[in-house]
Formats: sequence, C-alpha cells, structure tokens
Amino acid sequence: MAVVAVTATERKRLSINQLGLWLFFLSESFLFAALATGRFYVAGTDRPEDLDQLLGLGITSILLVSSLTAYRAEVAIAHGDRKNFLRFLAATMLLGLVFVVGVGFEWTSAEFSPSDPFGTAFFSMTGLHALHVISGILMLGMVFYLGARGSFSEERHWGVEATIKYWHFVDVVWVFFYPILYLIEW
Amino acid sequence: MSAQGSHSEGSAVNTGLVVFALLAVLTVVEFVVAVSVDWNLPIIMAFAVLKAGLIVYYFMHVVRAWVEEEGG
Repeated sequence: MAVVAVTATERKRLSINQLGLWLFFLSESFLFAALATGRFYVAGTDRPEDLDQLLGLGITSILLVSSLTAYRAEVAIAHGDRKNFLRFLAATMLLGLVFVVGVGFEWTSAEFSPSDPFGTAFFSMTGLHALHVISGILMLGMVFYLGARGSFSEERHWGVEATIKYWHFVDVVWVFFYPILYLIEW
Repeated sequence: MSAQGSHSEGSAVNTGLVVFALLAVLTVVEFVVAVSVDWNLPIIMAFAVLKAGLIVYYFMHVVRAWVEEEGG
C-alpha cells in the first residue's frame, strides 16, 4: 500500500475533530445523566423482583463483546488490515442487533407497565439507549459500505475512529444504566 | 493519524483482549455482589466507574484528544 503522508493541516483538523467529538459525548452524557437521575426521582431505588436478571446480564455481555470487536476493527484498519477490519465491523453490527432484539424481548415480556414509576424509568432509559444503539448500527453500516469500497486506509480513517468511539460511548452509557436498572439495592 | 499505528498490531490486539477480560471479570463480580449484598449501591457504582474508565481510556483513547499526534 502506498504511504500517503498526513499533512500538518490535516493533523490540526483531526485534533479539532477529536475535540468536537468529545464535546458531543459530554453533551450526550448530560442527557443520559438526567435520565439516570430521573430513575431515582420517580422510582427511588426500587426494582421489581421479576426483572429478568439473566437477560440483563446477557445483553450486557453482548454489548461488552461488541466493544471488543469494534476495537479490533479499529486496530485492523489502523494497520491496513482491511479484511479483518470488515470482518470485525460486521461482527459488531451483528452483536448490536442481538442487543436490540434482547431489549425488545425484555420490553414485550416485562411484567411491569410503562406507567409504573419503575416502568417509566426503565422504558425511557432502555428506549433512548436502544435508539443510540440502532443509530450506531446504521453508522457502522455506512462505515462498512465505505470501507468495502476502499475509502479508508492505514493513514486516513477518521470516519472509522469516530464511529467506533461513538459505539464505545454507547457501551459506557450501558455500563451505568445496567446496574442502575437491574442491580442496585438500597 | 492513529496512535495505534506506532505499535504492532499484535500488541494492540493483546491490550484489547486484556481490557476485555478485565471488563468481563468486573461484570461477573458486579453481578455476584449485586445478588448477594444488600445496600450495594456504592459498591455497584464503583464497579461501573471502574469499567467505564477502562473503556474510555483503552478503547476510546481519551488521552489522544489532548495530545498532539506526530503524523502518520
């Protein structure tokens, strides 16, 4: 593969892109933090006894594995390994879909109602989070399409990096939402 | 462009696997603590902060946002 030098101007632009992305994550964090706080406001620390703990642990594990596959995809493109890049990207999208299906199953099988205090928190938190997972899958799909057409290289793959960072961010949100909804007791 | 470019692919993959193993262990321990300990809120949230820190530092490379990259 031909090595194309990244110019100082491009490096500067990448630094600005990085900062912008992190500011976006910060603004999103406020939104998710408001929802997490709302859970304690409307439902205290109560949680229903019939909450499906195994399903919660299962979908959490799936999202964690998807963070590893996303990381592997980024490492692969950063080293010019396009075959593994596409393979791990596809695995990440598939795991994301399984997560969304798991949340959907939880929604249809939940014994509590969206109008209960806990249900209000549960459905709004998991709903907004699942929406972010779905948007992440769509963005990964675009990156996959562009990657398959050879749009990214070892030297130039900001689109990949930004999308995968977004995917990790969605995982970080779930790292907090999972215990807040399923595990805490006080 | 990427800090990973300065390291070998194998080394970066190993880092990812170690971080993932840590996250998996923390998740299992978190679950066990949650089902066996009453009044677990501070412990459980400490687990969450630790797991989030690992993802933000190793997978999201937060340090890169403040470090001028040296090309390539």
